Amino acid sequence: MVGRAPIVAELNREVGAATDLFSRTIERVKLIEYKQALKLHNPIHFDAAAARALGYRDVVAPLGFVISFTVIPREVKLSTFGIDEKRSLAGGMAFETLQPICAGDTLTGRCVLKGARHKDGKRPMTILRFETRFTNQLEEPVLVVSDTTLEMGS
Amino acid sequence: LRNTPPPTRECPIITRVDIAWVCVATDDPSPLHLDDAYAHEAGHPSVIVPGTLLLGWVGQFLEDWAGDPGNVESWDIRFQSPIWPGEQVTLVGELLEGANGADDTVGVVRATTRDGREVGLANVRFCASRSEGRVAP
Repeated sequence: MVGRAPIVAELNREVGAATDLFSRTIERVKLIEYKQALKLHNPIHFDAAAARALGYRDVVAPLGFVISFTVIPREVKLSTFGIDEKRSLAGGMAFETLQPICAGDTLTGRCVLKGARHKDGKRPMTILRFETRFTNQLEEPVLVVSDTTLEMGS
Repeated sequence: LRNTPPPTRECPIITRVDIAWVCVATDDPSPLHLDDAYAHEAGHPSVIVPGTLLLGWVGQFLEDWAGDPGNVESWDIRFQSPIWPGEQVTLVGELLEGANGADDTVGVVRATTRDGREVGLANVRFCASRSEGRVAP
């Protein structure tokens, strides 16, 4: 049986490994879809006049809308870090909000592996910690997203 | 910034249509959320509700608490247990430190299902002064 550590090494899971840099413009239509899907009620996410009344440039991305997969293509993140999607669960996320993100903003970032460790026990798993730092079209830092993926089993 | 957390919130019962919509809205085509057969192969009793659904609901709860999303300085959430279609989540907030209008106010939000299972725990730090200087364009 192959030990866990060599498998992790083969999957290029060194701390600091990263995806390429990706950019994506936050589209108004995606904010509307998100609002409808989650039945959100705050008008600043879909009514530009309401957003401007609070001093925003345009409709605002809701808290939790921008995660790493919003900009980094899912298949890129999975393949870069060798994540087996079938065995994976989201462990958690953390957000440091630095600037508002509005419709029309173009976000740029790369996903970096910050930690990988194996946990033994009743439910063995590999815990992968990632960080994605986003800047906007003015190259201003706007958001830091940290997320944890749990890869279950051996 | 409200002096107290918003009232306890009963989120809608989660349907498979809700799940499909969230997957579309977040560009998340993972079969773990959409394909029962795939989810069974992965050892789950059914498809798993995307974490982004709970993330969005907790985000909205925090916005209501903050009065303005710009007043939320940082927050995190731990997904403690999978959520399944047909379940209903309740959100309960608790102020831990700080007071109305004060910077560095800290709180938590606990997400549980109707049978009392803890499915999410969020921590938040507010900074009420962040939205004060914003001027309408």
